Amino acid sequence: MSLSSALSISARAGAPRIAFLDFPLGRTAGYPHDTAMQQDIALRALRHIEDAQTPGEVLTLPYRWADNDDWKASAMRSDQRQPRHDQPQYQTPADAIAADPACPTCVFLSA
Amino acid sequence: MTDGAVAERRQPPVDYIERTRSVYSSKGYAPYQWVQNGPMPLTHPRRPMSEWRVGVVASGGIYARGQVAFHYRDDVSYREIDRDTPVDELRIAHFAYDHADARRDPSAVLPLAALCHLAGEGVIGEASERAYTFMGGIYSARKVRDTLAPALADRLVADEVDVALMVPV
Repeated sequence: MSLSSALSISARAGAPRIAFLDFPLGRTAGYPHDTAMQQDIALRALRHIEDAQTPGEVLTLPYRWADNDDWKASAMRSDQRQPRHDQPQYQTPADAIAADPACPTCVFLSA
Repeated sequence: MTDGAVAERRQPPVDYIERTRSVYSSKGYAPYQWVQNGPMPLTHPRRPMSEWRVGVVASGGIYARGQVAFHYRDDVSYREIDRDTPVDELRIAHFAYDHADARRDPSAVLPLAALCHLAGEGVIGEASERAYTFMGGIYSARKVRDTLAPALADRLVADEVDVALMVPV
């Protein structure tokens, strides 16, 4: 089950079931700090696992990001990517200090 | 405003494939070759939802305080996130999406707390003991297909999950 806000990408990737949340990328599991919405989204996505009848079936979740869809006009119209650093990019300097280099719960794979 | 007027202004989903192609081509890059798979056949859980162990795989660059963060150059590593990790110990490292809301509330990109709540309510059996996270801005589809995806699939099988939520950003 793919819980996704990028419908075209998830469909093209061949997800067997898709729960589509029509939000700007980066809030796929619901509004920040809206636990009731986040729980409902998870529940609806799980129910879709039971309910979907055909491969790739899309459930559109009944939430809107804003009263209008004006945000869609500018979504990914320009390149907002940061440089592709090849060293760990900690959210805060304190995280870098707290990090265990031997991290038993980090799994590094050689590709 | 009536509901009808709101519905009228509703626009179709953003086609991010088309938009990234436009942005990349405007910078002189060759078109990115998006993966194309046919829809996978449906398999159905063997147990009722109230008994499911639910796995989570999320691509939003989530790591926990104490773990090594992700880097941004085709990082094919992943992190195990214990289901009981306090949300305020979760962090985001990702170069290609607006992670402002995810940093304010990592539950916006990792539905672990939601699943634990559903388990507490008896709606599902349990959230799997650990979620798996990675930094999804990996340009090499080959590395994902041959290395990362099989490793994550193996973990989900070993964890004996009944179903899994895949949560891209």
